[in-house]
Amino acid sequence: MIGTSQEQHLRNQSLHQRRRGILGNTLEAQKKRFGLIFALPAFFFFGAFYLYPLFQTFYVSLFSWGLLDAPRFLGMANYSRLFTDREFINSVWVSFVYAFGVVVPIWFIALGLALIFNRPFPGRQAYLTVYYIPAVISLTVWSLIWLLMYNPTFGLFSVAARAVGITGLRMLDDPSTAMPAMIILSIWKGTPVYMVIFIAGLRAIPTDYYEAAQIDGANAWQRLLYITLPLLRPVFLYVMVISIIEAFKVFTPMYILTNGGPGSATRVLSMFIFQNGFQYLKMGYASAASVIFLLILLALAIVQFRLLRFQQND
Amino acid sequence: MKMRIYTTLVLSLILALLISACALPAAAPTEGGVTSGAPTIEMLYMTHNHAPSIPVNEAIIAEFEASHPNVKITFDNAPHANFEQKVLTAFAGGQGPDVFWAGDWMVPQFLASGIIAPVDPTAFGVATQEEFEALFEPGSLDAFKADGKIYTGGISEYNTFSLIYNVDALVEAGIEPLPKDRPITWEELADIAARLTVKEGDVITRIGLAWPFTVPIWTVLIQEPMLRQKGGELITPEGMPDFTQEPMVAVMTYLQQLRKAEAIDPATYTDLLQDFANGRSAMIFGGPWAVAPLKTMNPDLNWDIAPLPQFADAVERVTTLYAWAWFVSAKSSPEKQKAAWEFVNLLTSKQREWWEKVGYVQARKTEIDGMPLREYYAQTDPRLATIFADYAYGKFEFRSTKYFELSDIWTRAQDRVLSGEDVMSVLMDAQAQAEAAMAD
Repeated sequence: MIGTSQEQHLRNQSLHQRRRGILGNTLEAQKKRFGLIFALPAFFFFGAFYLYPLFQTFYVSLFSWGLLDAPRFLGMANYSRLFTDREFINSVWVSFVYAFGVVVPIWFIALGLALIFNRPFPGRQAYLTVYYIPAVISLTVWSLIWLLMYNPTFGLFSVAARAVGITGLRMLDDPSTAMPAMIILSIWKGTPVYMVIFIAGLRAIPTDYYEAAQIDGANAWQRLLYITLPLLRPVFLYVMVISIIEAFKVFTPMYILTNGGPGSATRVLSMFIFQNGFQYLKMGYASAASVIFLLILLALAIVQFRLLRFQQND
Repeated sequence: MKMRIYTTLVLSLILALLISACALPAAAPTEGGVTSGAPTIEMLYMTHNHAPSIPVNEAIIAEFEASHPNVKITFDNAPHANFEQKVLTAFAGGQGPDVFWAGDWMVPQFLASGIIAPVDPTAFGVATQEEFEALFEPGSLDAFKADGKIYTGGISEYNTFSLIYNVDALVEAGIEPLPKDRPITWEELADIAARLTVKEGDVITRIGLAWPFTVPIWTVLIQEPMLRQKGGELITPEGMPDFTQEPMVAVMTYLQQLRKAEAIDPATYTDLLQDFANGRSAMIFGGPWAVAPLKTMNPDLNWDIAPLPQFADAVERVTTLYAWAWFVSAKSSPEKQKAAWEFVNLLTSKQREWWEKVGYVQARKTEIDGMPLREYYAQTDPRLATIFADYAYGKFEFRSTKYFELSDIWTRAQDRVLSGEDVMSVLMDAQAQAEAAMAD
């Protein structure tokens, strides 16, 4: 009983301290206060540069506003117009095609390369450096390089295609090949970044597991299937979330290589928003498209986080 | 307790953000102007960053500041591609320039937004707008007029397009150099361009004719004269775009035929002047600005200039006209506007510098070395005389506050037509998009 009473007392004391929270004079409260003070700049940064624009975007989406004139309240009219705008619907579709066309191959190529580079072999660092170069080149420069690469007369890509018997390739000029052209250059550019993340994930797996499995007679394929891949799940899901969001945000290659064309074959959602907002001065309409864009990304992120939670519980 | 405090903090922040986010400027704020008694007038001058123009602008600023000690000019230049967006967003943020460059196609948007001020003729030493207009080449200020007023202090870059061609390529193909005194027809051009295209196997090593196919303003500059030659206008008298009119169908069909004949090929295009200078294209469209760079890029290239082609059944001879001009902000204080117009007067008085150092043709009349301006320009390169003859038939681009949207729609339609899609169905789509754009 005495013990129980003491425990109860301590519990009450702890509860009391917790209730005093950051306002008390305890060491814990002081630490929390400092923590809060240190967190405040980030908190305000997040508020000013993320939350504020978010609310502002939604608010502007309810208006017809040309930047230079007085805003006119429309309610949800911009949203209803968007869903009948064939160019907008095309942009959403194009964004999905691009995003999944890029990220799915990236996941597997990056993982494959990470598995290769996770093992020691002669010249590994040199190869790793070469493979990582595209990641450090600016996307603008990268796009300009590929603009020349795709030239049907002298571009390296076209020359290589001809060397393997593929003739008459007009990557950027043909609506059926313009999007694959964008996907190829983006896979090349994005893979090294995710490869490095996978390598970091692989190195975090304790070697004991592999040693134990080897003693138990597991072959390389079984070790990959039953140790590496399950333990890489969190990293894989992180890569999935980030890569999909990044892919949806794409703008530069389309802006430089095709300006969204031919026709609207590569007019992704971010380009649709940019053109409507800053070229056509339809800020309300562009904001409504941005809100839809955000909701799409949010839905994808929620699905992925649910998957992550499910996998972790599993 | 802790949770409550955190919750309160977060909710307060969100509330504050919501309240502040729900604030839209009623309109672009008005410049407060110079405070009374301020010793100096500070002006912002904004241009795009065409490299040769920067030192010329800087020299003229220095000269103006020396003669106007009470004026301080801040010079800002931005990349050409996004310059217009920068100007507009600067105005939207209340930080608009006092003097700035912009293209003639921006005028309807500027007027609708009340951004630009009508010219003050007294700054140019004349009393009326009519006298001011007489200082310039006839018709050169047409795109800048509204309600009987002129909304520019002059043109910084006055342009038309003519046909620039590789003489040796024509001779090799057994074609006589093109006449200078009359335009060939578009139909003749199609035949010549197809013959000038050179292929190795299925690879085009030289294309007959090229222009920047994905740049919307080029779509307008190339196709609008064609449309007008056929008797069409993009914008009807009622102010609505008409993409399905017969002349537009004819122009698009013509372009599709050019593509089918491999006289043009958007896939081979990299850079207008570089491609031409390096022999990757045999003919291009260009203005006076092309002459100096071409001579530098390939001094050995044998090229010449012909008038802009006309359709065989053209109802009238039409070429294109476009211009960049100096504008003064209507948002600036009267003191600043007065100083700004005087500054623009100086800028437009430097015809020799703009031509010799930048390659920009000026529209303000003058005599240099005892010669009228055009004559002076032409004596620097006799080929220019052909381009200058094309100015006489020039018409400025269509005027609409939806210029960018309509030119994008036009370009997307062109893309699809060049890809082989049915002309009429493409144009019907374009029409639907244009009507939606206008309804906004």
